[in-house]
Amino acid sequence: MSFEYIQAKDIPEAVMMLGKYGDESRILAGGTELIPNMRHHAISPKILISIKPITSLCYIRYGENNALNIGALTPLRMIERSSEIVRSHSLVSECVRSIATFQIKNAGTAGGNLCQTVKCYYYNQSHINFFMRQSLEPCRQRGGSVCHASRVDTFNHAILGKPANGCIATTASDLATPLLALNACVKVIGSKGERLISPEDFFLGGGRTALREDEIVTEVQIPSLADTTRSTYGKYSQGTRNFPILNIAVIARLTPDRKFCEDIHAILGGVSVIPLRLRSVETQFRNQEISSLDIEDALRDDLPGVRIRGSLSEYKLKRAKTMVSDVIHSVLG
Amino acid sequence: MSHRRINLRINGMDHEVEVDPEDILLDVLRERLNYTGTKKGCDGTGECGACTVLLDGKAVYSCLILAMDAVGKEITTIEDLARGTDLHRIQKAFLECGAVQCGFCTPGMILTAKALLDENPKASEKEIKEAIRGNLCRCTGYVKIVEAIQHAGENYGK
Amino acid sequence: MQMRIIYICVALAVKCSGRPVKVVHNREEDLVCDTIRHPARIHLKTGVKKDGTITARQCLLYLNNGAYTHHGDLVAGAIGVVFSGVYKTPHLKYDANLVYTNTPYGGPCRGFGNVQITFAVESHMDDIAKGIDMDPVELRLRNAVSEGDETARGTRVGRCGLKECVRRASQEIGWELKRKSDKAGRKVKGVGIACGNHWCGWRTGFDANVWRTGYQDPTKLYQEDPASPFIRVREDGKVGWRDYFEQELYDSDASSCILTVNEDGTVIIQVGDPEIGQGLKTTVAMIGAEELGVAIEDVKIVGVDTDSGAFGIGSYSSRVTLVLGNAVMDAARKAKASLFDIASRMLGVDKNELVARNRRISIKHDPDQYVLLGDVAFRAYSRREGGELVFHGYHDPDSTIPDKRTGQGTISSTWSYFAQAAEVEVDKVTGEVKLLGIRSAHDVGRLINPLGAEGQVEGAVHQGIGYTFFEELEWQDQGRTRNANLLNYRIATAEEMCPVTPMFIETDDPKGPFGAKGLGEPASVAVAPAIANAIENAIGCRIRKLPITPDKILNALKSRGKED
Repeated sequence: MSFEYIQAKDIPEAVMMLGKYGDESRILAGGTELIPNMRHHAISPKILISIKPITSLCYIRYGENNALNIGALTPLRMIERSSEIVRSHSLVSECVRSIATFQIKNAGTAGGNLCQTVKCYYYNQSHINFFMRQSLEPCRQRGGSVCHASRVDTFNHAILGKPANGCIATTASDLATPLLALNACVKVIGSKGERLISPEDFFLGGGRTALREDEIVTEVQIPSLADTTRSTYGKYSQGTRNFPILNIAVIARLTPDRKFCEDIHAILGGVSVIPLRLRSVETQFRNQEISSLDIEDALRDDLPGVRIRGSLSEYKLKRAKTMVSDVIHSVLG
Repeated sequence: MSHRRINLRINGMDHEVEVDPEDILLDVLRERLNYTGTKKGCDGTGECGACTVLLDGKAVYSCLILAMDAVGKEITTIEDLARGTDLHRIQKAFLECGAVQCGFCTPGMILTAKALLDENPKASEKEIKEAIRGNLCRCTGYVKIVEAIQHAGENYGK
Repeated sequence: MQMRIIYICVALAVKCSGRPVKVVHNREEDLVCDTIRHPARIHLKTGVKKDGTITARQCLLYLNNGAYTHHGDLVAGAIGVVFSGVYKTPHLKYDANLVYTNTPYGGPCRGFGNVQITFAVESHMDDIAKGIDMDPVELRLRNAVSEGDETARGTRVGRCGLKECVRRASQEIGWELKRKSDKAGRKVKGVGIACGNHWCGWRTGFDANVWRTGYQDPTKLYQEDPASPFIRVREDGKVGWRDYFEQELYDSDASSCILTVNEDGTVIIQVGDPEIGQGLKTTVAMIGAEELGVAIEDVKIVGVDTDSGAFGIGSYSSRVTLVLGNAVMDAARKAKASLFDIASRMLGVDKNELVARNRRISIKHDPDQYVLLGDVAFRAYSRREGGELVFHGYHDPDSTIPDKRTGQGTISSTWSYFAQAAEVEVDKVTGEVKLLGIRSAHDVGRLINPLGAEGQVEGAVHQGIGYTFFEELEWQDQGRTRNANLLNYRIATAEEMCPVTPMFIETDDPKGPFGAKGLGEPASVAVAPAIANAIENAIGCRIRKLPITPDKILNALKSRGKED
């Protein structure tokens, strides 16, 4: 690793520096992803712009209509420990609790979590001089023309839907799934000013987000939830500190007698390059008597065209169906 | 501008050291400042926990912190815990409970334990295991480590 | 991992540079280039009577040797030795094949082949039990060796707590009730047991000439280096080893120590085998302190130093408590004899009347008459007739080198025995296996350091759990290791451990110091089959390939037509 290091003392300075150095620079927030990627030579920025001094981006606040606003530089551990978030948006708390380790979460930030690159094995090996071994041929993420993962059976790749620029790695951010279910927007700022990006527009798959070259994430805005809302988060990973193979966020608003589902949002991460909205489940379950609901039936539409490359991806599909079924049952009671 | 002279506050003392931007806190601690209690167990990718230090009281992987980003923070390494031959209660608990075998994970484990107990001295077994999720151990199976942390938590801070 | 070539490289680097040299592998090199546990494919066939008596057993073993041979032959040999000592087997055939592949090469790894073979044999035993409709615990008790039995390798079984271990482990896991518990529903529980034995030392009998010169054949050495000091050309022109350098097998498993009683009665023991965190120093200090009647704080252990003169083969093969422990006993007894000589004169009694305890040497039948051990020691140093108190301790166990062809012979003077029982809960829809607990019963001969012994069992079980569920080096085309980091080569974190209950059975083995046997490796050996057997009890499916992953469970259920 070899780079220049500069610090931005506030947001305007950060934006200015990003604009000035463009593609040769990277924002350094928690560093829990950037530094390992640099060690693996997956990226080699010439300039690191540390935004750690911008303490004004570290906050958990409730704003208009009780929306939860989390500053982009808020460490994940602070979010995890917030008893207010446990009360207002337990989905977020459950999700963060399952992420990585305390040490990662004390440094890693909310904004950083959203902007992660892919975590495919082959991405981290497809470059020159991987420590001491010969590299693999550069993959599509690295500007090459192959996808090594598509030739083998793995747990960690999409089993349905279109690749993102030829890449079938899934979204690494654990938070993407609940944020999509919560319809949380991402506030960003760049040289052209501020904008609010919907979660569907923000996550583009293949480790890319809607951020323009000179933009940084400043805040995550999560709408409040009605008192009658129930939600559950589920995660399947290999190991308690690893990235999700599958994760799911379901939010439902039920009538007080819990017999009727007024509204439901269901997002399943890990089957496609971007977490998948289970539209059929949502449409079929919205405004329905709970006793009449058939999850299997709904899933048939939501999980079509599955790319089974072997025993592992076959298992992944089975597990996804079980997970959706288990979590929805638990939310609907 | 590459090379810079910075001040790192480690274990309550100021240390002046010349660093390059790419110098990682773990390497500066071990190679330049002789704080070899902090260990390196993976390829600097935040995977093992042996490099755990406290930054303003919070457990972090020092292999993922640039030395330049540690300026202005209170860094605590394992060397800060004992006072001469007087061991910290967590260190004593580890010895009494037989929680040390090869010792390589031990500094990181103890610091993670300290960060946990400082915040939550009555941590349950489940909470302790969650807290040390990020510290790998190959020798002990964690059984006596968890016991030691529970033991240290009794009457903590009194 | 053990890579002897490194030692030579380091020595050469020191010689060339004149500076201290440190070798560090990074984690990627460790996972890609260092030795690994040999993967194995094992075929077993057993003849058994209806009453459960084993009559014959045949084993065909294939070891994935990797790219080079580094202990592969020794592991294959070790497997043959170890698995023939668990059950009475009048007829035994064992064939092992090492297969070269373009993958990382195998070497010593805790258990040294015993882990692989025990997975196969103990899974197979449960299959047998099922086939003859017998309880697996009963089948094991029926066939387990006892003291005095002769194994298929012609060795006599010494102190043996195998049956007791099987009884204890099964009892503690709640065998009777849980074995027959309700197996309906989505989540089902099951219990399983596995047992085994392990050596406490290893008389390898490897070729000493290869060790010393790198060559087995002097003519080949001559081709490379005609001036080698190890060879000479005879009158008839033939090349041979130099005089007194005959082809020999290394016939020793010794360790030694140098014990000094200081002039104040404290003790220093220089040992020949390294402390690697297993607690060697504490155990050895306890043995020395016990024998000499001093406090453990009075004993200082000086670690391995090739300048010290204390020789040891090393810390492996679970040998240290037994072999080095006996060496320390040897030295301590000599020290005690010398001290008693002096004390007997001081107290005016025959030295057979003396006992050493609590830093004193006192008269057995009149303990109020004593001298301080420190005063006795001081006399040794301060008087003309005193004499120094430095003693050499040495022990070479009475094991024999096994015959390479027939397998007859014993590599270890005694054997440790163990049984491990596991309880699992299997989710038949997700295929996830939750480990509820492991009970690990060990015949340790005599428990010297309980805390240390528990730590060894708990740590070894952790490795066993990893071996069973998560740890797998993933190789793909052309042998490339794709998960060469600690995030993707997963060892269990604290949250992934289940409760582990070590239990110790003391059989008081005369071969060991105070009756002790070895304990370093055993608890890693039977974890995988105990878990596989528990899974079989829960869902009626046998998983034959490790690691046990959810997709394997679901595939097994599907083939049984039992998928919910």
